[in-house]
Amino acid sequence: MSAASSHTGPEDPGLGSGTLQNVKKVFGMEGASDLVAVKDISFSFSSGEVISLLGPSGCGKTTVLKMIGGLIEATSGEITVSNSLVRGPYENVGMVFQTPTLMPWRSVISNIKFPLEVLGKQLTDIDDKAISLLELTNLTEFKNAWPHELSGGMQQRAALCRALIHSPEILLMDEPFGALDELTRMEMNDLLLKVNYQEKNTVIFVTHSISEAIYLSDKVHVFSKRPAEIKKTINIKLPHPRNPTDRYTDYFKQLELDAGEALGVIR
Amino acid sequence: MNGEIIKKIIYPTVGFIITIFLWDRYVVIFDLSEVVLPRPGIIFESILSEYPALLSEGFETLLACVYGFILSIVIGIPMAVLMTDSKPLNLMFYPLLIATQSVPKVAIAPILLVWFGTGIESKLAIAFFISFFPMIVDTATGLRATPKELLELARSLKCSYFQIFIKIRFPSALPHIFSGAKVAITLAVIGVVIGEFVGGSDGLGSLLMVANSQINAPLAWAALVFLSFLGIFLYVLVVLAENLLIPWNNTYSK
Repeated sequence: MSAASSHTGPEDPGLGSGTLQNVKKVFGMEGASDLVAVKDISFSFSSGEVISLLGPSGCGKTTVLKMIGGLIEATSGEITVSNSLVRGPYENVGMVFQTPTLMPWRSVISNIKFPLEVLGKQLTDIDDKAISLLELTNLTEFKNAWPHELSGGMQQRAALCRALIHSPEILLMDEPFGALDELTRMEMNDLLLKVNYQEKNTVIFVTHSISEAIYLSDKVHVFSKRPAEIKKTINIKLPHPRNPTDRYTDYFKQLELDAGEALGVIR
Repeated sequence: MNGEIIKKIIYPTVGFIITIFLWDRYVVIFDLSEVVLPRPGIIFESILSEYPALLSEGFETLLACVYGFILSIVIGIPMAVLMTDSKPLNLMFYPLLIATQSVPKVAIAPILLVWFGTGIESKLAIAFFISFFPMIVDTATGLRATPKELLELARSLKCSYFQIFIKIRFPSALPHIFSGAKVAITLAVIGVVIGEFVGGSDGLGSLLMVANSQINAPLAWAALVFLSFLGIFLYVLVVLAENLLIPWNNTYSK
């Protein structure tokens, strides 16, 4: 049984899957030569998979993530998500950023419901969805709190709920746990996996933490320094559900070594 | 809890009493004439005997301040929105806006008087002219300070310009708008008093001028006391509105 097949995706296998083909991004800079952020990236992902983009800071992995989400237009190449070409933002995407970016003027629950409010979805079973997400992330008793009353990890959990409230097929996460302490980060990793088993959406995860990438993912794409290229793709064949002790197995350490070598931090 | 009361009420009260006492002793010891500096007790007597006039003139001043303040909000905020959202408008009018602020406000008062007459209109014009600037600048700063990620989130959810403005940019600018409003309300009071000095026929400012010309120092000082109370009262109103409208901000800053 392969790692990816242990997930069961949505009914239509195309939903939540995607392909990037020879994607390139050049930023025109005022009064300077153009900046090639992403040189040539191709990879694909299938429904329900967790894919990590691992690379050094400023290497262009966030740019790739934003192109997948339709927030940045690729200079050349083609991006397809859920069987349709990405040409700008689309509804079926949830985003989690490095900072929680909750709206301080809204309560936790109201922050979480924000996407539905602006997407104009009817308000039938929203409350059930919100309640189940709050339960899943252990935030039930804080649903009416102000964001600033929550710890950093709790805020990020709320941000995760917000990203999932409209049941997107694809979840884009940009170093979401980078600002958290190591212990909270490990807890959040397990929480994310738990959420992923329940929600069954595809996750594209940007990080510069080797162990986080390996622990979470079915596949890790190791990026070069800018301009971004994929140096190596590592298939993670750890069984699901993952267990924190997996981090200390020889197989895991070997994967870390492979990733470290690809990144150039281990020679 | 008790310590808080002592800190917040007892200490300032004691400081106030000491100041009043020293003031009174100073006048007595140096035998100052009442015209130069009346004793606090005499000012208090003047307030007691003249309070109907002080109250009715104070009410005129208060109304002018509130209207001028509202004008600066109603005109200042939309102008700030236009200037943050349109680069050409910003480039065209921002320098002009700065220039208006380098004009001494007192100097422009006589001109506004010619335009608007001696009624409430000229007072409003001066109050507006002084107080709209912090409203514009702070609102614009607030609108520009909207967290980038929130805007990105909005974009990924395909929010319209209007949705982004109402649901994200405006609320996120509110703390800045209120800090502008706190400055604006203080400046509006100054503007109205300038207007009353220069050509008003009513209000505490003109009462103060009249008292001065009659060498009625206690009444002039009484008008001054009322003016300060009025300023504090209006400022507190804005702070109360702030706490009411953005409760998340108050605890946020703690």
